[in-house]
Amino acid sequence: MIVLQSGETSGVNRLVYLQKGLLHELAVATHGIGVVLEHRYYGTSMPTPDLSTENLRFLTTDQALADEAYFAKNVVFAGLEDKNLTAPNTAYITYGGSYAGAFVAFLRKLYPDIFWGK
Amino acid sequence: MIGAISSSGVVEAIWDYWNYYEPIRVYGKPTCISNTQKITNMMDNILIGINDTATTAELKGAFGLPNVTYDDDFAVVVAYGIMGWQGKNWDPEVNDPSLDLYCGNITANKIIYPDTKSLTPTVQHLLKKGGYESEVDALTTPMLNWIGWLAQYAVDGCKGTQDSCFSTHNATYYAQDDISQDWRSWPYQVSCFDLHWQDLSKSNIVLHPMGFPSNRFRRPKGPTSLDLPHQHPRIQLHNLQSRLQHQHASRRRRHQQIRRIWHLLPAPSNRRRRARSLASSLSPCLAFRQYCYE
Repeated sequence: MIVLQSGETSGVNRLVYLQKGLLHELAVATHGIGVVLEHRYYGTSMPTPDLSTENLRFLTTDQALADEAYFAKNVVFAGLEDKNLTAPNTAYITYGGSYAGAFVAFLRKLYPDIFWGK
Repeated sequence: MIGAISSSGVVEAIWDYWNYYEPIRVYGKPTCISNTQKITNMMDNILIGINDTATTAELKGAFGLPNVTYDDDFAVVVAYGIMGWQGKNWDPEVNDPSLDLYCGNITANKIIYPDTKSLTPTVQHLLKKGGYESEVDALTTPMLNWIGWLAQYAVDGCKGTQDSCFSTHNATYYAQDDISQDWRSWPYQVSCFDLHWQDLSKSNIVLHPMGFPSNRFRRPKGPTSLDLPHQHPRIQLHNLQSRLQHQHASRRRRHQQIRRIWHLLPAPSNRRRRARSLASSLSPCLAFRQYCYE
Protein backbone atom coordinates (compact mmCIF):
# COMPACT_ATOMS: atom_id res chain seq x y z
CA MET A 1 0.00 0.00 0.00
CA ILE A 2 1.40 3.36 -0.97
CA VAL A 3 -0.43 6.16 0.77
CA LEU A 4 0.00 9.76 -0.36
CA GLN A 5 -0.89 12.06 2.53
CA SER A 6 -2.68 14.97 0.95
CA GLY A 7 -1.83 17.41 3.75
CA GLU A 8 -3.30 20.87 3.91
CA THR A 9 -5.65 20.65 0.96
CA SER A 10 -8.56 18.63 -0.35
CA GLY A 11 -7.59 15.15 -1.50
CA VAL A 12 -9.11 16.02 -4.87
CA ASN A 13 -6.10 18.25 -5.56
CA ARG A 14 -3.76 15.28 -5.18
CA LEU A 15 -5.67 12.79 -7.34
CA VAL A 16 -3.48 13.65 -10.34
CA TYR A 17 -0.63 11.86 -8.56
CA LEU A 18 -2.42 8.56 -9.08
CA GLN A 19 -1.61 9.06 -12.77
CA LYS A 20 1.94 10.38 -12.50
CA GLY A 21 4.72 11.02 -10.04
CA LEU A 22 6.06 8.89 -7.25
CA LEU A 23 2.73 7.54 -6.04
CA HIS A 24 1.95 6.18 -9.49
CA GLU A 25 5.50 4.93 -10.07
CA LEU A 26 5.70 3.09 -6.76
CA ALA A 27 2.27 1.51 -7.12
CA VAL A 28 3.16 0.20 -10.55
CA ALA A 29 6.63 -0.96 -9.50
CA THR A 30 5.34 -2.85 -6.47
CA HIS A 31 2.06 -4.09 -8.02
CA GLY A 32 0.62 -2.23 -5.10
CA ILE A 33 -2.36 -0.05 -4.34
CA GLY A 34 -2.00 3.73 -4.43
CA VAL A 35 -4.14 5.75 -2.07
CA VAL A 36 -4.65 9.49 -1.70
CA LEU A 37 -5.58 10.04 1.93
CA GLU A 38 -7.21 13.23 3.09
CA HIS A 39 -6.26 15.02 6.31
CA ARG A 40 -8.91 15.85 8.88
CA TYR A 41 -10.49 19.30 8.42
CA TYR A 42 -9.68 19.42 4.71
CA GLY A 43 -11.77 18.49 1.67
CA THR A 44 -14.81 16.62 2.89
CA SER A 45 -13.13 15.23 6.01
CA MET A 46 -14.89 17.64 8.34
CA PRO A 47 -15.52 16.08 11.76
CA THR A 48 -17.49 19.04 13.11
CA PRO A 49 -20.55 20.93 11.83
CA ASP A 50 -18.65 24.20 11.53
CA LEU A 51 -15.14 25.59 11.80
CA SER A 52 -15.43 27.71 14.91
CA THR A 53 -12.30 27.90 17.00
CA GLU A 54 -13.86 25.64 19.59
CA ASN A 55 -14.64 23.06 16.92
CA LEU A 56 -11.13 23.35 15.52
CA ARG A 57 -9.75 22.03 18.81
CA PHE A 58 -9.45 18.57 17.27
CA LEU A 59 -7.24 19.90 14.48
CA THR A 60 -3.83 18.92 15.73
CA THR A 61 -1.03 17.12 13.95
CA ASP A 62 -0.92 14.29 16.46
CA GLN A 63 -4.66 13.70 16.06
CA ALA A 64 -4.25 13.63 12.29
CA LEU A 65 -1.31 11.24 12.59
CA ALA A 66 -3.50 8.94 14.67
CA ASP A 67 -6.17 9.10 11.92
CA GLU A 68 -3.75 7.87 9.31
CA ALA A 69 -2.46 5.10 11.58
CA TYR A 70 -6.04 4.02 12.26
CA PHE A 71 -6.70 3.95 8.52
CA ALA A 72 -3.73 1.68 7.92
CA LYS A 73 -4.78 -0.69 10.67
CA ASN A 74 -8.47 -0.88 9.72
CA VAL A 75 -9.14 -0.15 6.06
CA VAL A 76 -11.28 -2.48 3.97
CA PHE A 77 -11.51 -1.73 0.26
CA ALA A 78 -14.72 -2.31 -1.64
CA GLY A 79 -14.28 -5.33 -3.89
CA LEU A 80 -11.19 -6.47 -1.97
CA GLU A 81 -12.91 -7.53 1.25
CA ASP A 82 -11.31 -10.95 1.04
CA LYS A 83 -7.82 -9.47 1.34
CA ASN A 84 -6.21 -8.25 4.54
CA LEU A 85 -4.79 -4.93 3.41
CA THR A 86 -4.15 -3.57 6.88
CA ALA A 87 -0.84 -2.88 8.57
CA PRO A 88 1.26 -4.56 9.76
CA ASN A 89 0.05 -7.51 7.69
CA THR A 90 0.47 -5.56 4.46
CA ALA A 91 3.46 -3.32 3.84
CA TYR A 92 2.68 0.38 4.07
CA ILE A 93 4.73 3.14 2.52
CA THR A 94 3.59 6.66 3.16
CA TYR A 95 4.58 9.70 1.13
CA GLY A 96 3.94 13.43 1.20
CA GLY A 97 5.30 16.88 0.35
CA SER A 98 5.88 20.01 2.46
CA TYR A 99 3.61 19.83 5.53
CA ALA A 100 2.63 16.32 4.41
CA GLY A 101 6.36 15.59 4.11
CA ALA A 102 6.92 16.49 7.73
CA PHE A 103 3.74 14.57 8.53
CA VAL A 104 5.00 11.30 7.04
CA ALA A 105 8.37 11.73 8.79
CA PHE A 106 6.46 11.97 12.07
CA LEU A 107 4.33 8.95 11.08
CA ARG A 108 7.43 6.86 10.49
CA LYS A 109 8.89 7.91 13.82
CA LEU A 110 5.74 7.52 15.89
CA TYR A 111 4.18 4.49 14.22
CA PRO A 112 7.15 2.47 12.95
CA ASP A 113 5.30 -0.82 13.32
CA ILE A 114 2.57 0.39 10.95
CA PHE A 115 4.55 2.30 8.32
CA TRP A 116 7.39 -0.13 8.05
CA GLY A 117 7.75 -0.19 4.30
CA LYS A 118 8.45 -3.38 2.51
CA MET B 1 13.19 -0.60 2.99
CA ILE B 2 11.60 2.80 3.33
CA GLY B 3 8.39 3.25 5.27
CA ALA B 4 7.98 6.91 4.53
CA ILE B 5 9.11 9.33 1.83
CA SER B 6 9.29 12.85 3.19
CA SER B 7 9.41 15.25 0.26
CA SER B 8 10.53 18.74 1.35
CA GLY B 9 9.24 17.81 4.79
CA VAL B 10 9.18 20.82 7.09
CA VAL B 11 10.26 19.09 10.28
CA GLU B 12 12.01 22.02 11.90
CA ALA B 13 10.32 25.13 13.21
CA ILE B 14 12.62 28.11 12.99
CA TRP B 15 12.00 31.50 14.52
CA ASP B 16 12.64 34.53 12.28
CA TYR B 17 13.14 32.35 9.23
CA TRP B 18 14.49 34.84 6.72
CA ASN B 19 16.73 32.06 5.39
CA TYR B 20 13.78 30.69 3.38
CA TYR B 21 14.77 33.11 0.64
CA GLU B 22 18.47 32.19 0.68
CA PRO B 23 18.27 29.36 -1.88
CA ILE B 24 16.38 31.74 -4.15
CA ARG B 25 18.98 34.44 -3.65
CA VAL B 26 21.89 32.08 -4.24
CA TYR B 27 20.52 29.94 -7.07
CA GLY B 28 18.15 32.31 -8.86
CA LYS B 29 19.17 34.06 -12.07
CA PRO B 30 21.75 36.63 -10.87
CA THR B 31 20.40 39.74 -12.56
CA CYS B 32 16.84 38.94 -11.54
CA ILE B 33 17.98 38.48 -7.95
CA SER B 34 20.09 41.63 -7.81
CA ASN B 35 17.34 43.76 -9.38
CA THR B 36 14.86 42.29 -6.93
CA GLN B 37 17.17 42.94 -3.98
CA LYS B 38 17.88 46.54 -4.91
CA ILE B 39 14.32 47.53 -5.70
CA THR B 40 13.06 45.71 -2.59
CA ASN B 41 15.69 47.52 -0.51
CA MET B 42 14.54 50.78 -2.03
CA MET B 43 10.98 49.95 -1.00
CA ASP B 44 12.08 49.11 2.54
CA ASN B 45 14.01 52.36 2.76
CA ILE B 46 10.84 54.19 1.80
CA LEU B 47 8.29 52.23 3.82
CA ILE B 48 10.38 51.70 6.96
CA GLY B 49 13.13 54.34 6.74
CA ILE B 50 11.41 57.41 5.36
CA ASN B 51 7.97 56.24 6.46
CA ASP B 52 6.02 59.34 5.47
CA THR B 53 2.52 59.35 4.01
CA ALA B 54 3.34 61.11 0.79
CA THR B 55 6.29 58.95 -0.26
CA THR B 56 4.53 55.75 0.73
CA ALA B 57 1.53 56.79 -1.31
CA GLU B 58 3.77 57.60 -4.26
CA LEU B 59 5.37 54.15 -4.05
CA LYS B 60 2.08 52.29 -3.81
CA GLY B 61 0.61 54.40 -6.58
CA ALA B 62 3.53 53.61 -8.87
CA PHE B 63 2.80 49.90 -8.46
CA GLY B 64 -0.87 50.44 -9.18
CA LEU B 65 -1.79 49.72 -5.58
CA PRO B 66 -2.75 53.16 -4.21
CA ASN B 67 -5.69 51.75 -2.30
CA VAL B 68 -3.92 48.97 -0.46
CA THR B 69 -4.07 50.52 2.97
CA TYR B 70 -1.52 48.48 4.91
CA ASP B 71 2.17 48.37 4.05
CA ASP B 72 2.48 44.66 4.78
CA ASP B 73 -0.32 43.81 2.35
CA PHE B 74 1.42 45.94 -0.27
CA ALA B 75 4.70 44.12 0.41
CA VAL B 76 3.08 40.74 -0.16
CA VAL B 77 1.61 41.74 -3.50
CA VAL B 78 4.83 43.15 -4.93
CA ALA B 79 6.62 39.97 -3.82
CA TYR B 80 4.29 37.70 -5.81
CA GLY B 81 6.94 37.17 -8.48
CA ILE B 82 9.85 36.06 -6.32
CA MET B 83 7.52 33.89 -4.23
CA GLY B 84 6.75 31.88 -7.36
CA TRP B 85 9.98 29.95 -6.78
CA GLN B 86 8.23 27.37 -4.65
CA GLY B 87 5.74 26.61 -7.40
CA LYS B 88 8.33 25.50 -9.92
CA ASN B 89 7.93 21.90 -11.10
CA TRP B 90 9.60 19.78 -13.77
CA ASP B 91 6.15 18.77 -15.00
CA PRO B 92 4.84 21.57 -17.25
CA GLU B 93 1.26 20.71 -16.35
CA VAL B 94 1.95 21.32 -12.70
CA ASN B 95 4.64 24.02 -13.00
CA ASP B 96 3.91 27.57 -11.85
CA PRO B 97 5.74 29.75 -14.40
CA SER B 98 5.31 33.00 -12.48
CA LEU B 99 8.88 33.17 -11.17
CA ASP B 100 10.39 32.73 -14.62
CA LEU B 101 7.97 35.20 -16.15
CA TYR B 102 8.71 37.72 -13.41
CA CYS B 103 12.46 37.31 -13.86
CA GLY B 104 12.20 37.54 -17.61
CA ASN B 105 10.28 40.76 -17.23
CA ILE B 106 12.54 42.50 -14.74
CA THR B 107 15.73 41.64 -16.60
CA ALA B 108 14.54 42.72 -20.04
CA ASN B 109 16.58 45.60 -21.40
CA LYS B 110 13.65 47.52 -22.83
CA ILE B 111 10.29 48.62 -21.53
CA ILE B 112 7.79 45.84 -22.20
CA TYR B 113 4.54 47.59 -21.24
CA PRO B 114 4.04 50.89 -23.14
CA ASP B 115 1.56 52.12 -20.52
CA THR B 116 4.31 52.19 -17.91
CA LYS B 117 6.50 54.66 -19.77
CA SER B 118 4.67 57.61 -18.27
CA LEU B 119 5.70 56.38 -14.82
CA THR B 120 9.38 56.95 -15.60
CA PRO B 121 9.76 60.22 -13.63
CA THR B 122 7.93 58.76 -10.63
CA VAL B 123 10.00 55.59 -10.67
CA GLN B 124 13.23 57.55 -10.90
CA HIS B 125 12.13 59.83 -8.08
CA LEU B 126 11.38 56.80 -5.91
CA LEU B 127 14.70 55.16 -6.73
CA LYS B 128 16.51 58.32 -5.69
CA LYS B 129 14.51 58.74 -2.50
CA GLY B 130 15.08 55.08 -1.69
CA GLY B 131 18.85 55.44 -1.85
CA TYR B 132 19.57 54.24 -5.40
CA GLU B 133 20.38 57.52 -7.11
CA SER B 134 23.64 56.11 -8.44
CA GLU B 135 21.81 53.23 -10.14
CA VAL B 136 18.78 55.03 -11.49
CA ASP B 137 19.68 54.32 -15.09
CA ALA B 138 20.16 50.61 -14.52
CA LEU B 139 17.06 50.12 -12.37
CA THR B 140 14.42 52.21 -14.14
CA THR B 141 13.49 49.71 -16.84
CA PRO B 142 13.48 46.74 -14.43
CA MET B 143 11.19 48.61 -12.06
CA LEU B 144 8.85 49.71 -14.84
CA ASN B 145 8.66 46.13 -16.09
CA TRP B 146 8.02 44.88 -12.54
CA ILE B 147 5.12 47.31 -12.35
CA GLY B 148 3.81 46.29 -15.76
CA TRP B 149 4.14 42.57 -15.05
CA LEU B 150 2.41 42.91 -11.69
CA ALA B 151 -0.45 44.85 -13.29
CA GLN B 152 -1.35 42.05 -15.66
CA TYR B 153 -0.53 39.30 -13.15
CA ALA B 154 -2.50 40.57 -10.19
CA VAL B 155 -3.51 44.21 -10.03
CA ASP B 156 -5.73 44.51 -13.09
CA GLY B 157 -7.64 41.39 -12.16
CA CYS B 158 -8.92 42.91 -8.94
CA LYS B 159 -12.61 43.66 -9.07
CA GLY B 160 -13.88 45.53 -6.06
CA THR B 161 -11.70 47.54 -3.73
CA GLN B 162 -7.98 46.80 -3.57
CA ASP B 163 -8.26 46.03 0.12
CA SER B 164 -10.98 43.49 -0.63
CA CYS B 165 -8.57 41.78 -3.03
CA PHE B 166 -5.28 42.07 -1.19
CA SER B 167 -5.76 42.94 2.44
CA THR B 168 -5.44 40.48 5.29
CA HIS B 169 -6.55 42.91 7.98
CA ASN B 170 -10.28 42.33 7.70
CA ALA B 171 -11.16 40.92 11.09
CA THR B 172 -14.82 40.56 10.10
CA TYR B 173 -13.84 38.28 7.23
CA TYR B 174 -11.68 36.09 9.46
CA ALA B 175 -14.43 35.78 12.04
CA GLN B 176 -16.61 33.76 9.64
CA ASP B 177 -16.58 30.15 10.73
CA ASP B 178 -19.41 28.25 9.06
CA ILE B 179 -18.54 24.98 7.36
CA SER B 180 -18.04 26.62 3.98
CA GLN B 181 -15.04 28.58 5.32
CA ASP B 182 -12.63 25.80 4.51
CA TRP B 183 -9.72 28.25 4.29
CA ARG B 184 -9.71 28.31 8.12
CA SER B 185 -8.03 24.97 8.73
CA TRP B 186 -4.54 25.83 7.49
CA PRO B 187 -4.23 29.29 9.08
CA TYR B 188 -5.43 27.66 12.30
CA GLN B 189 -2.65 25.09 12.05
CA VAL B 190 0.09 27.53 11.13
CA SER B 191 -0.98 30.10 13.67
CA CYS B 192 -1.41 27.75 16.57
CA PHE B 193 1.51 25.48 15.76
CA ASP B 194 4.03 28.04 14.47
CA LEU B 195 4.68 26.59 11.08
CA HIS B 196 5.48 28.20 7.77
CA TRP B 197 6.43 31.76 8.59
CA GLN B 198 9.21 33.24 6.54
CA ASP B 199 10.47 36.78 6.60
CA LEU B 200 12.73 38.67 4.26
CA SER B 201 15.20 39.81 6.86
CA LYS B 202 15.28 40.48 10.54
CA SER B 203 14.40 44.08 10.14
CA ASN B 204 11.98 43.87 7.28
CA ILE B 205 8.34 43.18 6.83
CA VAL B 206 7.37 39.60 7.47
CA LEU B 207 5.70 37.82 4.62
CA HIS B 208 3.96 34.54 4.39
CA PRO B 209 3.69 32.77 1.06
CA MET B 210 0.05 32.03 1.58
CA GLY B 211 -0.67 35.71 1.88
CA PHE B 212 -1.12 36.00 5.61
CA PRO B 213 1.53 38.54 6.43
CA SER B 214 2.36 40.14 9.71
CA ASN B 215 4.08 43.28 10.73
CA ARG B 216 7.70 43.18 11.70
CA PHE B 217 8.59 40.43 14.13
CA ARG B 218 10.36 41.48 17.24
CA ARG B 219 12.71 38.75 18.30
CA PRO B 220 11.45 37.37 21.60
CA LYS B 221 13.56 37.58 24.72
CA GLY B 222 15.35 34.45 25.85
CA PRO B 223 16.80 31.62 23.82
CA THR B 224 15.07 30.67 20.61
CA SER B 225 15.74 28.04 18.00
CA LEU B 226 18.19 30.50 16.40
CA ASP B 227 20.45 30.10 19.42
CA LEU B 228 20.63 26.35 19.00
CA PRO B 229 23.30 24.96 16.72
CA HIS B 230 21.58 24.39 13.42
CA GLN B 231 21.06 20.75 12.63
CA HIS B 232 19.93 19.35 9.36
CA PRO B 233 16.41 17.97 9.87
CA ARG B 234 17.56 14.45 8.94
CA ILE B 235 20.21 14.58 11.64
CA GLN B 236 17.64 15.70 14.16
CA LEU B 237 15.38 12.80 13.27
CA HIS B 238 18.28 10.35 13.43
CA ASN B 239 19.22 11.57 16.89
CA LEU B 240 15.61 11.19 17.90
CA GLN B 241 15.55 7.68 16.51
CA SER B 242 18.52 6.57 18.58
CA ARG B 243 16.97 8.14 21.63
CA LEU B 244 13.72 6.33 20.99
CA GLN B 245 15.32 3.02 20.05
CA HIS B 246 14.89 1.48 23.45
CA GLN B 247 11.34 2.64 24.07
CA HIS B 248 8.56 0.12 24.48
CA ALA B 249 5.76 0.44 21.99
CA SER B 250 3.08 1.08 24.55
CA ARG B 251 0.56 3.88 24.26
CA ARG B 252 2.00 5.73 27.26
CA ARG B 253 5.45 5.64 25.70
CA ARG B 254 4.02 6.79 22.43
CA HIS B 255 2.72 9.93 24.07
CA GLN B 256 6.20 10.54 25.39
CA GLN B 257 7.59 10.13 21.90
CA ILE B 258 5.16 12.71 20.62
CA ARG B 259 6.27 15.14 23.28
CA ARG B 260 9.91 14.53 22.47
CA ILE B 261 9.47 15.28 18.82
CA TRP B 262 7.80 18.52 19.68
CA HIS B 263 10.73 19.32 21.97
CA LEU B 264 13.02 19.32 18.99
CA LEU B 265 11.02 22.37 18.10
CA PRO B 266 10.43 25.18 20.56
CA ALA B 267 7.64 23.81 22.76
CA PRO B 268 4.29 24.78 21.26
CA SER B 269 2.81 25.97 24.54
CA ASN B 270 5.83 28.22 25.18
CA ARG B 271 5.73 29.53 21.66
CA ARG B 272 2.07 30.37 22.05
CA ARG B 273 2.78 32.33 25.22
CA ARG B 274 5.60 34.25 23.56
CA ALA B 275 3.53 34.66 20.45
CA ARG B 276 0.68 36.22 22.39
CA SER B 277 2.89 39.12 23.34
CA LEU B 278 3.48 39.71 19.65
CA ALA B 279 -0.14 39.16 18.77
CA SER B 280 -0.76 42.85 18.43
CA SER B 281 1.65 42.92 15.51
CA LEU B 282 0.25 39.82 13.80
CA SER B 283 -2.98 41.30 12.58
CA PRO B 284 -4.40 38.57 10.32
CA CYS B 285 -3.21 35.85 12.68
CA LEU B 286 -4.67 37.71 15.64
CA ALA B 287 -8.04 36.18 14.87
CA PHE B 288 -6.52 32.75 15.37
CA ARG B 289 -3.75 33.11 17.93
CA GLN B 290 -5.85 34.56 20.67
CA TYR B 291 -8.33 31.73 20.17
CA CYS B 292 -5.90 28.84 19.84
CA TYR B 293 -7.57 26.17 21.85
CA GLU B 294 -5.71 25.41 25.06
